[in-house]
Amino acid sequence: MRLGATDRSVRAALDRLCDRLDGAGVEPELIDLSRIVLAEVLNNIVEHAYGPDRDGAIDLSVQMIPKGVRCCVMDDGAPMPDGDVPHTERPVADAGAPMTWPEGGFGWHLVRDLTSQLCYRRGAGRNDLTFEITLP
Amino acid sequence: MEMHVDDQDGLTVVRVDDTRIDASVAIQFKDTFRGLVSGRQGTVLLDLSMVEFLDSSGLGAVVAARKLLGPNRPLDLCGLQPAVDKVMALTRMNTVFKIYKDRAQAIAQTAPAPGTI
Repeated sequence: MRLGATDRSVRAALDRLCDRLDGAGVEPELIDLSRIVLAEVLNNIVEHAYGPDRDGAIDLSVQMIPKGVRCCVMDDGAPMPDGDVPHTERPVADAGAPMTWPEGGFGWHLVRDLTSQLCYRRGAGRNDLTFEITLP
Repeated sequence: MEMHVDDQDGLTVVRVDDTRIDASVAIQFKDTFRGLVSGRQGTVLLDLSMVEFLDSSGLGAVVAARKLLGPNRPLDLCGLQPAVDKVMALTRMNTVFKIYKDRAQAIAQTAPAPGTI
C-alpha cells in the first residue's frame, strides 16, 4: 500500500493493515507486534526522512511468512545518518529521578527488539528497509 | 483528543477516551492532560483501559505528563492493554511507573483511608 508521509496517514494505514491481517486470521499478538514496529518505522520516515517541510509518499508491503510477516518499507526521503539504522544507547530511566526520565529514543530499540533480518539499503534516491516480525 | 477527569476517593483519575496515544495526538495529549490536572493536588492515576495502542511518541507524551506534575507528585497508570503493556515492558518504563491492573485496584492501594487528613 502507498500512504502519504503524515502522522494521520500513518495512523490510518496501520488501521487498514491491522484490519487486513485480522481478516487473514493472523494472531492478535503478531498484529500488535506489527503495529508497534511499523508505527516506529513509519513515524521515523515522516519525522526524519521527509521532515516537517517536505511532502512525500511511503510504500509499504507486508507478506505472510511462516509464523510471521515480512515487511518492506520504501520512501524517497533523506538517507539514514551514517547509512544505517541508528545505533543509539538504550534510554534508561532512574526511578528516583522522574524529572530526568527519557521522553524519546525508544523507537529503534523497539524495532530491533521485535524484528529479525533488519536490512537497510539506499539506492536511486530511495530508502529501502526490510525486516521480519515473527512469533516465538 | 478525548480525555476525562474525575476525583475518586481523593485520587485524581484521568481517563483517555481515545483508542490510541500516537505521534498524531502526542502534543494534544500533553496539552489536554495539563488542562485537566491544573488546580488539582496529589497523585494522578492515568486510566489507559480504552487505549489499544501506544507508540514511542505516545510513551514520550506520558513521560512528559509525569514531568508536568513536578518531582513529588506521582503519575500512576492502570488498565494497560496487551500492546501498551508490551511497549512499557520493552522500554523498561514499566519499572519506573507504578502500574495497576485497573482503577479499583489503584484506588484500593493508593487512596487515603476515609477520615484521614
